[in-house]
Amino acid sequence: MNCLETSRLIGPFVDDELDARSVIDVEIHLARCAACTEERSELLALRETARERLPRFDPPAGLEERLFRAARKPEPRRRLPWRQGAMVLAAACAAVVATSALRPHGDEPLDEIVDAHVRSLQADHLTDVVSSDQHTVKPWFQGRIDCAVPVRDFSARGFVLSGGRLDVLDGRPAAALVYRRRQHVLNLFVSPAAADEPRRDLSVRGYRISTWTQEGLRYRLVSDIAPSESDELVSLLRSDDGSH
Amino acid sequence: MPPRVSPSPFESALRPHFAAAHNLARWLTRGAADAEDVLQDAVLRAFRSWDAARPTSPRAWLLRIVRNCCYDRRKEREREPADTVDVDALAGDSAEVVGLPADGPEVRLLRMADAEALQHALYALAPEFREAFVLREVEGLAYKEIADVAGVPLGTVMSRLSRARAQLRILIAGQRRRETA
Repeated sequence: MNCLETSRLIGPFVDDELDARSVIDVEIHLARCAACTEERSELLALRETARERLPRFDPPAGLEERLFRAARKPEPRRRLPWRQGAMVLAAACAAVVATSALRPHGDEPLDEIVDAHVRSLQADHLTDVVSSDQHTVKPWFQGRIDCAVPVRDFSARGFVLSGGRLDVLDGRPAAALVYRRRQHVLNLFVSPAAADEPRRDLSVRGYRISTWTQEGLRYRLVSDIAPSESDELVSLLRSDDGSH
Repeated sequence: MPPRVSPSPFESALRPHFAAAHNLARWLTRGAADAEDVLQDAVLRAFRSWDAARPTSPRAWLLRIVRNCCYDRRKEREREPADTVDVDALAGDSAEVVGLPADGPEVRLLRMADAEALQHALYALAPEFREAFVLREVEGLAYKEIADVAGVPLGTVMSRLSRARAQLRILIAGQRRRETA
């Protein structure tokens, strides 16, 4: 591979969007080309600066509510004021049963994981215990779930622990740890694992899900950040640096 | 607590992506008021076509509508075919950036660039390049998703991103040089 070919692939290379074969080709070229290595450093520098410093414009308070309410108005829809959500609950239960019945990916309730993630972002139910202190979050789970939940903060690496809550996956309680990365939220579900299983990475409805087991616990990480960033947290979680 | 109606599937699917939609609208329009108008339009359009569309990726679907609303609005405003310029066909290739002196001070310049300089440079890009960069670096979308939002093939996303970055680097380096001159 020469410099011209590398210049076409270096962007996708930095973005983690290259196939394994091309990654190796680019790496081999980089190892012996100072100019292209410099090019990579510049791309990484630009990306870092952009991710750290570009603002994500947050919507003004009330805008979302206002626009969605306005959208409902023009054609009066058959929206019955359902009695205190009883039917919603019934529908939700039916949906859970349905999704657990047809499960294309091994025994992972993928849709349920995404649903739990989306739900946590919607209502004011992201965290039951709000704390960036692992020593506050960890004991909170004791007695609420039948396993000891390892809780670690990775603020120094850009993944800020912001709390935890109890959620339900697969009909069983699961600890949900919430991390923030810039404006994005990552949910990490932790529950007891019956058997060891290898790590798997999947994309479901635009969300990245990574699952693995470790020391008798099942981990499922879900978010909408770039796979490379999500993988960074997976590596941190899987590493045993003795900080917990 | 105000009485709550149960959220419709439409709202359950799209509300989680409202912040992303708003952010994109801000980057593709000038100013908060413009962005709100565009969003209002976009949410309405989304609502009307929801039943027919049943999108598999609600986020990409919503962002695509927002993006189209932004472009429509600009066309309306400018009332001229300037927007039909095919930026992808314009001359100028990222390859030339490879020719920058190796080991140059560019990396340092890029690391030092402040938010204002970067924002300024980003607004100077063609909107197609700006949107690719914002979707990638601020919203963290994969190439495939950016392709869905922009309605272009993967290869176009790749070249737009590459050229967005090349231009940003030139703009940022230029700004710094002017400041230090």
